[in-house]
Amino acid sequence: MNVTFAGCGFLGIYHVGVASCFSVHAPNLVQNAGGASAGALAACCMLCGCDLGSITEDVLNTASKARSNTLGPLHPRFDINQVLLDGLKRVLPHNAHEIVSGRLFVSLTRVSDRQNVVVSEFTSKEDLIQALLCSAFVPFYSGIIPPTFRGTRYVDGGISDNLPKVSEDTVTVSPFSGESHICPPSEEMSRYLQITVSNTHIHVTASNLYRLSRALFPPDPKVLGQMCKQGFNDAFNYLQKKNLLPCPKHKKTIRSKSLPVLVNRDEEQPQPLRKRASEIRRPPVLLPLEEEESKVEWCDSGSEVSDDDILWMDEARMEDVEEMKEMWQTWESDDFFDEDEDDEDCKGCKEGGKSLEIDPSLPPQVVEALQASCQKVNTGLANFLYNSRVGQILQIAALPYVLPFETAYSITRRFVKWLPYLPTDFQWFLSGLIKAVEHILSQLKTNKGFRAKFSCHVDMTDDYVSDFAKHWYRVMKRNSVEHRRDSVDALDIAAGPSSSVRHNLNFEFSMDFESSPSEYPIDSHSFHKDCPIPNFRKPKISDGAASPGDSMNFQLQDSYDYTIKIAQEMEDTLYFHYLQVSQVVNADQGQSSVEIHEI
Amino acid sequence: MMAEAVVNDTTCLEEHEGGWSFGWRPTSMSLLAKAEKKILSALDVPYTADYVKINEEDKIWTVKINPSNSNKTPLVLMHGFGAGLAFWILNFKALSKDRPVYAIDTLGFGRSSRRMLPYNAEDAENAFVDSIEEWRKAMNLNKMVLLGHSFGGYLAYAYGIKYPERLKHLILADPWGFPNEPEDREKMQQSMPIWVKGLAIFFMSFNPLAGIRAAGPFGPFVVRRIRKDIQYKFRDLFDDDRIMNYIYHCNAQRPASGETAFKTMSTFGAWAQRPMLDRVHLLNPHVPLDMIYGTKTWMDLSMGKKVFNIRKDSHVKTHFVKGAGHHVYADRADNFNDVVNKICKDIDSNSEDLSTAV
Repeated sequence: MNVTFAGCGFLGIYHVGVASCFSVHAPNLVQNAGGASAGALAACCMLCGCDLGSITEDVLNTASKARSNTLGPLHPRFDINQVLLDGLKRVLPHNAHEIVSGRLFVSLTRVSDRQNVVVSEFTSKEDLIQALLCSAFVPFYSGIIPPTFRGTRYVDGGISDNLPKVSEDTVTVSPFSGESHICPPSEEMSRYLQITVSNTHIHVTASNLYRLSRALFPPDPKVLGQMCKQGFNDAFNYLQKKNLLPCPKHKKTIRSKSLPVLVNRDEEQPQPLRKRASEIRRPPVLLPLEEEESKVEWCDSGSEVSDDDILWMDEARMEDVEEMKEMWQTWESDDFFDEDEDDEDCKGCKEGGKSLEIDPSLPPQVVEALQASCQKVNTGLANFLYNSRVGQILQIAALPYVLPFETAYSITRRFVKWLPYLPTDFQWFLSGLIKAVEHILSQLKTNKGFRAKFSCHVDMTDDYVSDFAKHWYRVMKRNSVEHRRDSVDALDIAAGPSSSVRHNLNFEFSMDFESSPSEYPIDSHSFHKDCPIPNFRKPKISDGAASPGDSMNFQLQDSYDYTIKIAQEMEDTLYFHYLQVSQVVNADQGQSSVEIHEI
Repeated sequence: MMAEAVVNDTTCLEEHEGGWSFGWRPTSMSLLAKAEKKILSALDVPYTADYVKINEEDKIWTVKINPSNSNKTPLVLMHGFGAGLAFWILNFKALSKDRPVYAIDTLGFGRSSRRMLPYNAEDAENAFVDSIEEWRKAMNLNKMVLLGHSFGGYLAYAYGIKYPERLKHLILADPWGFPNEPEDREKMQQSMPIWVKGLAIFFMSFNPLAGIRAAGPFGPFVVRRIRKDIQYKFRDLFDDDRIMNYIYHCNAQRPASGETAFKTMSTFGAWAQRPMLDRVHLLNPHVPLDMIYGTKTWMDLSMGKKVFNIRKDSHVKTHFVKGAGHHVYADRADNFNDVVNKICKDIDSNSEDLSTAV
């Protein structure tokens, strides 16, 4: 099974709950894990098999550290990156990169183009930690200048893809109620409204609003403890619903699509199943192994095993292997690997989830850590003073006096720490600035369109017009009665006293290449006529120009050729008509011009 | 008075062809029409779309596919909340193979009339139900198979209660409004800080999608941003954001009467004010019922069983479409179509049996 954890800041404690459920009830189920931000941290710790108790403690300590400042996590004294770095260095085993390479998928957001990048191969522990730090860097919350990973600047993966898909059937875990596989149920309000933010499905409910507000500003340890428990319960329910809870016998066998290998704790070579042997990806020795109730320590290399364990294991293993072999040979692979309608695999497993009185409670070390943290906050004279109303008022009152000094102090400290990186960071900042300016400039340039204007100008002498009108009169006489009126009008005009005036006829239309090509490119299509020449001319010409806009090939429209074509058509129309009127039309009388000018 | 408003609507349609009349929201009925047309253009079966006048005031926008095949019982599709009939785009072709398919924009949604509906849960529900019945009369359909998704499913069931003789079969896809409000909701809300409760109350006093309209020119961007998953559902048919555009224009229209009615019919937490589960038994036992759920939906998956337990002597069948979420008809369109087609096929063969028996 592949799991992906959503980025969620301090709500990462929810993931700890989920991870502890996996480790207690289905230890070898999870093969690959992915995540963003806090989800990536959780995924890494789960794959490495870190001690859940100490992780819980770390998260709670970080949270209470953030809360202890008057300004919360925004206080200059609180340096989340440093806290994470120290924590990871301490918690992760020295060969963490070997364990997680190819199995951990960390979602990052590249600063330069805001694209999502998923990293899964790590060369060293430092490399891994750097990737995790990048993924957990919330811009402006964690700092201004983003950290680098292999020479490139990255920030929080939650910005671009909060739930990186490891494979198609990845199980998604999110502390926000929504359509993720494992998430808190949102019962208190209906889920009619939902949003999808960077690949995470979230219902719009009051409790989600509350959770969101708490992602970066942690609540007190008690609430975090509830969230941890919630995660554990949700994961347990999921496993139970999907029949993925193995019986105690099969707990140590891998039941997963990705790696169907029998793995046992002892040094003996694991036995890959013949059926799916081709699918083995990596030596199963590196898999995180189950955690025994009595022992809090996780074994990094699988060497520390108590005697009792081995005995028990040996018996179990022999049975298991035989039984499993038989069964697995008779199964259809689909039956087995389909998690939805899982399965005939083992009666014990099948009923295990339902009938077995598995106690769905958090592992003891997690509970201890939670309790300790709660107690730490609530006991002691200092804490009492600190939490009392008077103490809080005093703190707030003292803020204006204390804050400048504290800020100065922590800024200097950070600056000193930053000094070695200053040149590179500064360079990066500068290059970024230059790029931004260049981008803006190029935008301005590409926006410069040009406008093409076509005009057609025809001059007409007076006798010419009257000839023309007379001709039309003759034509219309033969036509229907309605047209007759028009033509008579036309004749009147043409024969009127103004006939000596020199008339002209102008056509003009322009194209704006700035507008988007899918729209009609003809910006204005005007038909000016300075002379009261017969009405019946008008539709004819405007038809010729406007109808292509509707019916002609749309691809042609924004091309230059098309424009020329229209212009020529209009010209042709004019020529045609004037030639009809009197066979002597002077080419000089018709002028057409094409102007293209930039705007 | 109301009739005028409707007529104005249509005149608007002709006037601002292609543009929006410089308001705060960049939308208009004609833009909605355009957005819908763009989606339906991906359909490769002939269709006709028309307004069906159901009474003096209201018109229901209807898409008809394969209407000539009238000897088969027609299938009528009703969309969910905040959607429109174009959401069925992935289903039209497969479902209309053997029978006429009609899809309607529910009263107050999409392109149908947006008359203000009564501010009372029962009356609003009746208004919806009666609009369907009047539409059926206007369409001259004797019997139909009614398929409703989400809010449409709720209305379909309500219709079945009131006019069972018109239903050949009832199919509900991920229906809304069946479960009762959980009793411990109050308790859960008490555990929340005051400011969260305050904010919740503040937001709940508006229509559910008021934010999109309030966002004005940023509305399309907001919709695109927060529901990118819907675009993904339709990726097989078109790879641009036309569906997002459609959603925006569907929900940005004023007045949002369907939405207001939905709010009237739901409680503070958007549960149904008159939960259908309490009224399941009111449906005539002769009306066969099929429910289709996506396995990944956020609806209560046990609802099918609960309904089955209440309607013990009737046909109640629940189908689960694997891997589909709430939008089951789009998430796994092929599976969904197969299920519906099979149901419809069974209806046809059953009805032949019945007719010979009777």
